[in-house]
Amino acid sequence: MTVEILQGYLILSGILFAIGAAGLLLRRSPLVMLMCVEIMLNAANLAFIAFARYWGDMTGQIFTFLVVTVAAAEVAIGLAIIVLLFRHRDAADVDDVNALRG
Amino acid sequence: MSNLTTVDLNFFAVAPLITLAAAGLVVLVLELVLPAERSRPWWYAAGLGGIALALYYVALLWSGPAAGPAASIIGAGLWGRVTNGISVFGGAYVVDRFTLLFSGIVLIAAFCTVLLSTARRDEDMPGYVALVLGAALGMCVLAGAGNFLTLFLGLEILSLNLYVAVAFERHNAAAKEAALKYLILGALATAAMVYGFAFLYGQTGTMSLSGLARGWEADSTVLMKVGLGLVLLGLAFKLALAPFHVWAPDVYQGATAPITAFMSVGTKAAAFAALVRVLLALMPEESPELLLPLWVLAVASMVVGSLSAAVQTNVKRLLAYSGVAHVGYLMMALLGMNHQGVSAGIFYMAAYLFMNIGAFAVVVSLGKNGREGEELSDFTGLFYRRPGLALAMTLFMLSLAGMPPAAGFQGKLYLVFSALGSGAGGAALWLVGALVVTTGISAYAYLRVVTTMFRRSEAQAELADAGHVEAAPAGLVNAGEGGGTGASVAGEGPLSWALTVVVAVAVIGTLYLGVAPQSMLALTRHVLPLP
Repeated sequence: MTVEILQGYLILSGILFAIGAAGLLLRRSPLVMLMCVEIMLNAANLAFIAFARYWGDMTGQIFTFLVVTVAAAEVAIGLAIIVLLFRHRDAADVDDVNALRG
Repeated sequence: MSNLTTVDLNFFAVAPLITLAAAGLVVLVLELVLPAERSRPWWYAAGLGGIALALYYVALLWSGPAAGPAASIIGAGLWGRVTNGISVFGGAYVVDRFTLLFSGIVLIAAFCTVLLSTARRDEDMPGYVALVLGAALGMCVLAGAGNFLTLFLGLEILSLNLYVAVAFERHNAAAKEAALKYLILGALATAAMVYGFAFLYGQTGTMSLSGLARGWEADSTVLMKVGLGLVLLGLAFKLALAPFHVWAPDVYQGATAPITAFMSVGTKAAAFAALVRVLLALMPEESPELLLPLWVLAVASMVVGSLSAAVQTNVKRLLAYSGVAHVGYLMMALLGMNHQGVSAGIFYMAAYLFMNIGAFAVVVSLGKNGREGEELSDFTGLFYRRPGLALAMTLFMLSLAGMPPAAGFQGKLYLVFSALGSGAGGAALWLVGALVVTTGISAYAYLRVVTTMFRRSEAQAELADAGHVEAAPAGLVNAGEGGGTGASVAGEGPLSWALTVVVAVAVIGTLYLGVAPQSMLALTRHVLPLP
């Protein structure tokens, strides 16, 4: 893989990461926020695989599998907490979750 | 690239980790196979036993077996190397004295947490104990991470367990809210960190921390700097360094006090250990100004933590902000990345373990009617109801404020010495100055708790005026009030044995580290290959 192609992948992953981070900070739905976290993790995965190709090294690809697995566990827990929190409410919106402050 | 046949599958070196994982499973299975009404003591015993066994293995790995079956099974070859550090599983996990010290701190915190939780009567307490064991496992993994995969895995094991543990109280909406905030911000930090790993990997072509050190010397490019910055950001979140501390007060308040105690000590210890390992690999020796952001965060943490702690009326929030300030102090240990600094950092972590667990144990023991004694008003006149508990809390508060003869004073002293001896120049002076100023500010926050305990509540004052208050009996366990007719003292029985043990251990630890710090410092010397 040439450096030019690597740069292309890195720019794409940078854009993905920025979209994810922006969504996480701007969107108010916890479900969308979890999806944004996934986008950020996948941006990192893309960078990992591109670098793994560039170096001809398998470790980067192994890391990607690890990230995918752990992200699935994280989303499962996240969804469970969201269900618990919003079971008795009409809409899921993080702006309503503001009992703790100070 | 090592192939499978040369990977060192040394299972004895990870015996503490295997023990914790197995104990978690045993606790869950015990709940299934034993009748519900009689299983309760058994799975608490299994959890505590598992942690104690893991501690035993940590001690064994530290000193090496003199003789006996363990020595013959694993062979004598391992012991000569453990003091210098061995890496097992192809460099994924490093077992050295640094790992063992932090494992010890985490395991003591986990043991105290399970003890503090024995009074709880929630449903599904075995799950709770298993979550604590799982989180402790993650922290131990993090402390000995030898490459990015292990670092990431350790961080996620501890985080995922803690997300659920924070949300544990079924009918507490605040706990769910805290868990959601923790999860979203924690996931953001994790994602940033993984992206940072990708950049560091891209620059060097290696995942192992020891390999990274060589990569940095080659050239420090933008890729490397951004990678290091993102990894530091992720760890700063877990450490609750300002301004990445916003989750901490809410999560500390929403979670139950034992979990909060465990989180505050265990997560900080593990994340600090990981930070030391990352900086050990990536310390930009020719350009120390790259770490300037870390020192700015440290000063910001001290200031924000102390100022915010001073205005809290909830003791858990107060301790959360105090934790933010303490992490700021802890960063001073990293100024020079030398033996003296790391030694001071470990000592400070050990001191923080005892004083913080002790403070949360008092919060737990003031709980009644299903809620915890977390409001400052719950502490009003405590000295006249439970003098032993009030005096213990006074000791913890003085220690957190950094006053002699408690451990917190010695800890701060060594941090200052290490900062001044680090050769970091201006940054060191700024940090020491901030420490002195913020210690003064935070003393107000801690002394407010102390004065509250020594001020009589209105009911007590009326009784005192009428001459009804008899001399309060001494002793921690039976420290009920003599004239127990006041409204504020209704329903307070003696402390359970478990709470008494935790408070006593915390008091002894805080005093011992404060009076005889040399014994602990001797343990922390030369635990890492540092200048």
